[in-house]
Amino acid sequence: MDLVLVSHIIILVFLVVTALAAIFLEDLFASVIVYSAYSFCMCLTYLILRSAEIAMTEAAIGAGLTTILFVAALARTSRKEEDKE
Amino acid sequence: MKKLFIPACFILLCFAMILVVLRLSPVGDPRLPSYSGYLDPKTPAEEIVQKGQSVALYYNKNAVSDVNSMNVVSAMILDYRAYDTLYEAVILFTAMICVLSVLLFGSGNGSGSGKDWVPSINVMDITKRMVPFILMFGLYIIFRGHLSAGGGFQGGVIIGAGFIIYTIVFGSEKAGRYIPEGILTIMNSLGMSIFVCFGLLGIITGYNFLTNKIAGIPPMGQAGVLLSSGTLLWINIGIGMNVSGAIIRIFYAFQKNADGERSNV
Repeated sequence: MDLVLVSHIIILVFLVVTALAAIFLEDLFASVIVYSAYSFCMCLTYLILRSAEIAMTEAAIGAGLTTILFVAALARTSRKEEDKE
Repeated sequence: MKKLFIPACFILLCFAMILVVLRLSPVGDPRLPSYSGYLDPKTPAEEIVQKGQSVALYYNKNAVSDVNSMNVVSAMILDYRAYDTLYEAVILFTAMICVLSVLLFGSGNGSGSGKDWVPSINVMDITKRMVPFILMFGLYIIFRGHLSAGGGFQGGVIIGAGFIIYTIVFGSEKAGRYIPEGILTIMNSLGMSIFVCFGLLGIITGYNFLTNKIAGIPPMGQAGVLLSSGTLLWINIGIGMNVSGAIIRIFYAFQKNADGERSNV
């Protein structure tokens, strides 16, 4: 087990955790932030798979732009999810 | 039931992902089917690199001498496969037109100031200091698209994100003073035009659409210097203008539409 594989597995576990958390969190603002953490994990995964271009795109669009647009949209709606159950 | 469902999902997904990663073939192995082409996968790696005739092998061998670009991925998407990239840029252009036609059809009078809250002094200060660096980094990525990782799309998104941060913190009125909406639309169209014009330059010089090195489009310097690789540099600049213009313009339209609705209520 070399270091890259171990770190890759840790990143993948964190990826699943953040993906599930982004879906199941009640607070939408926290969900957006966790989603950007998910994008960052995805970016690291691409870096480990040696595709720097895709990693850069993911970091710029996934972690940067999407988060900004979501936060801007959240500022116009309510922060909590409504009508649960 | 639901309390049990989430951990079960989690464990199952983790297990599946780790299993897939452990079974992946090593990164960059020339015996991968997408790399070795029709050759027998049991042949040794060195022989595949010498004999193989797949597209990936051709690109890896010849991209630097064909395009004068150090970045093989940029050479692929902006020279060998530039036609695909042209239509990606067209998609973005069309998306901006569609979003604008939907958002500006109704109430978009934009009478509000674009801002009904005052951020803390820390946020304003940090934004004021960070935005120039973000914009500079975006330009760096656009202009070095043929030398290192990156290119027009990524750099354009970074520039757009920088301006969007500024717009969120200081309001669309103050941001609109630096980049008016008319300039954004012109930037977007001009970026597309640069792309198509440098493609047509290939036809004018007697070759095909988007021909690069054979047509001798300037600047065709040594591979590895900034002024090299002909159309790649210009196409990167064009895509950067197109993407950043589209993103900032769409965000302005969102902001304006919301302000108009608020002032109508």
